[in-house]
Amino acid sequence: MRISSFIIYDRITRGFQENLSRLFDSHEKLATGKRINRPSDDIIGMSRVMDYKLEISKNDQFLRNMDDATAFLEFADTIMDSVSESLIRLKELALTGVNGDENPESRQAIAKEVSEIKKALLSYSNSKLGDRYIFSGYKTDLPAFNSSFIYQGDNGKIKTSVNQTAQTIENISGTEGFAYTLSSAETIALNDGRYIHYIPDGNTQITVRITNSANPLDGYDQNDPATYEFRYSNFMEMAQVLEDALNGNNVDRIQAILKSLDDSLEQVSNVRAELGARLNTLFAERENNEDTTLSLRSVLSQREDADILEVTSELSKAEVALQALRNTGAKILSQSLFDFLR
Amino acid sequence: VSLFGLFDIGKSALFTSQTALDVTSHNIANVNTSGFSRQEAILEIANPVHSRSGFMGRGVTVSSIERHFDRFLEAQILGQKQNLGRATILENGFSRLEELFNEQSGSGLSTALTEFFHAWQEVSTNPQSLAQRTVLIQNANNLVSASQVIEERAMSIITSAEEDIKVMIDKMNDLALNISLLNEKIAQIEGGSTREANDLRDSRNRLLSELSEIVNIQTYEDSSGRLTVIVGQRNLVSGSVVHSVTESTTSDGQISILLENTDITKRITNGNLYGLLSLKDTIKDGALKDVRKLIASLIKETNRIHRNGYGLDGFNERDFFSPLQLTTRDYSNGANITSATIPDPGALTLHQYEIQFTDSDTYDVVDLDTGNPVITGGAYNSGDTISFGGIDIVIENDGAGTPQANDKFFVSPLESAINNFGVAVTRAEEIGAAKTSAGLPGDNENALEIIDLYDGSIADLGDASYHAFYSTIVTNTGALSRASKDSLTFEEKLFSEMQLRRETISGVNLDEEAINLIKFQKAYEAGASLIRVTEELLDTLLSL
Repeated sequence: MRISSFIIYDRITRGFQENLSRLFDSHEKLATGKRINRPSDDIIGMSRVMDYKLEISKNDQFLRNMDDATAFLEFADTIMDSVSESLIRLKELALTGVNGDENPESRQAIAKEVSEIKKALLSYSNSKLGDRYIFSGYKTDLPAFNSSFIYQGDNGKIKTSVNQTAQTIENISGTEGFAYTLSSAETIALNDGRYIHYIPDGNTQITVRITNSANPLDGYDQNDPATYEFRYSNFMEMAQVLEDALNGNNVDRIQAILKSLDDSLEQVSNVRAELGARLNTLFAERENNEDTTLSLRSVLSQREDADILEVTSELSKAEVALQALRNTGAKILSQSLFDFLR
Repeated sequence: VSLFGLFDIGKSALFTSQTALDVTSHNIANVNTSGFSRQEAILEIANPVHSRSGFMGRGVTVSSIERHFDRFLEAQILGQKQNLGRATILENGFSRLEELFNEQSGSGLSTALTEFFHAWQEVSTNPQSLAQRTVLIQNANNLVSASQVIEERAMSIITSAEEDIKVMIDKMNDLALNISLLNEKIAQIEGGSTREANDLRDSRNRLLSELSEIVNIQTYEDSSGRLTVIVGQRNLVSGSVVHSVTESTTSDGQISILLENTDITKRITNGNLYGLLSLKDTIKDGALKDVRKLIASLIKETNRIHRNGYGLDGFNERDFFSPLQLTTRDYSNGANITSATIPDPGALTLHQYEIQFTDSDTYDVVDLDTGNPVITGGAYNSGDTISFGGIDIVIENDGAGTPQANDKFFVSPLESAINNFGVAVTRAEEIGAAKTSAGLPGDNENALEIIDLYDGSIADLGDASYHAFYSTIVTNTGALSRASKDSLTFEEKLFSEMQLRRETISGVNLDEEAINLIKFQKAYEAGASLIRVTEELLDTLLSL
């Protein structure tokens, strides 16, 4: 084939361009550490990379959600632990109060401690984490109970996503944590032939009536309910009843409160079991989340990261080729017949 | 034969060698001239004379100076130049487009979109907290600017393509003029003879090659050497006559290329011009439209849910993003759109429409995305509301009277979606995370519903999720860029092969010319010796 002078220069220039561009490609891969630097480098790969990155980013967000939920739930659990201790102390005091050895004066002394515990319970119920009253349901800007022990919150459950499909509830309401409900009326017989009736009265309100009959309506004067019955709808009110009974030396009522305290303790332990279960789920979910992220990161790396060994060897290959081209180029370009026409 | 005849032979040898040396020098001088074809002096035995001893040779003449040129190969190269011109433009444009959607470098739209929904997650875990809400507004603003960067850069690719089209057209007219001038010169010089005006033809060929890079052309040559250049089935150059190419933007924003007032846009199928036209349309109707649709859908869905939500200040019915606005354009002579509204944003379809009048009181409404009519044969009364796809349009007669057949009105909820994209919520309290009622700062039900949007399938996006839809845009632009890169590499290789073949025939080789130089120098020296010998012979004779 006839070779023109132009084509010699042209091919050498082209050769330099090709080799330099290969060198540049390898260098880019080394500089970024990535095999895919733009969508066209690997179209399918790019789409996978985007999917993996999204999943990882979502997992990170779920982790942050779980951090928040865990903080709220653990805080609630700590509070409920204190509530439980307070209730136990109330029960001890009530038991002391029913004891026949006590006299009205000593009962009044006990009433003082009950009053303190009542205040403590109220302050527990109004616990705040950050700017949120944690036992007020959705009404996080209001203390759960006011000074008259009226619940100001609602039953709103604040949910947050812990993975693609599941949510956890990060709060318990004041009615769950500081009150209990009876499913049906209950009666206990006292040794002296009288009966204590516990009658659910809507929501968490419970009416306690002490009569001479197993039937709560027998021998009950509706015109004078105060004599026969009292009601409470949360732990603070319960403590108030106990305090009043101790102050008023009303042993029947102290006696009646004992079962209420037992029921309350059961409620608290149920709530703590529920909190524990949620925390356990979060713990398991967190491990699951971290495992998934780890494996996603590894497949992401396989997809998008450059094989440094391979790229380095490509780089040296391109360098060698470039060097060879320079050598041969210098030889070819410097020779011409004109050099010999002297 | 007289002794003086020897002088003639010597003279012919000298002249011929000198001409050959001329040609060689010309070749050497043009070794780097693009489009130059190597020339060769064709030597011929001079006519012999009859003598008693038979025919006697009378030396040498130059019969012609030929250029080494393959007409067929040149035609192929012109065609390949067109492919190369197209591929170069597309590769350049699609690489730039790809960078807009390059999620591998820096933070793209995908990151901004994810961060937007993550911020909603943060609000959902802490609905009462202002800090998280403030971050949400910040992230929403980041999403706005990320999408506006894409809109702006995509538009800049389109406008620079439109400007380039104008530049190309100017260049075409320049080249056409120069070709016509060369046509005349060639015709004059060749003057019906069989000898070719080598250098002028080479120059004309170089212009043709430049023209081919711009647009697909066909050429033919008449008997006197004039070339006719045809673009889009119309003559651009015929002999010395030049027809001018102009560009006009039609009322619907499309660029048309006119040759002597005939629209040849559709017949431009190759070269830079085709590349630019197709680049512009591909971005406009592809990636850019898709991103606008994605943002429009995000505005529509977020606002739809957000309006149900109560802010910390107890108010609801608020838009999170600035509501979508309609873009309308009138292509009419006798009526205008006087009002374009979206009565119920939730019922809006994210399609583009055209109201087409068939006569002064009948119109059809066509969904431009599907090509299907949504209203056929509607009766027009000036000032009546025309409703379709969640859009209310009012067209009224203007000074020029009623609408006329072929009047068109373009209506799009997409076109300004990104330009008008903005966060309507300004204070953190206004974010409607609560759903149940006012005054519940801990209620996050509405925030949770907005979060669900991210993974849900969106009807307006063909039941794809936001991520999947965006991912398709990214892979589409990646595929366009990949294909255009591959195409450019292929066309370059092919062109380089053709160039090699052309050079094999037409290229100058300096070593070869050096040999010729020596060859003709020696021949010249020998011719000169011949004259000296003849002179000596004459001296000998005269001294007798």
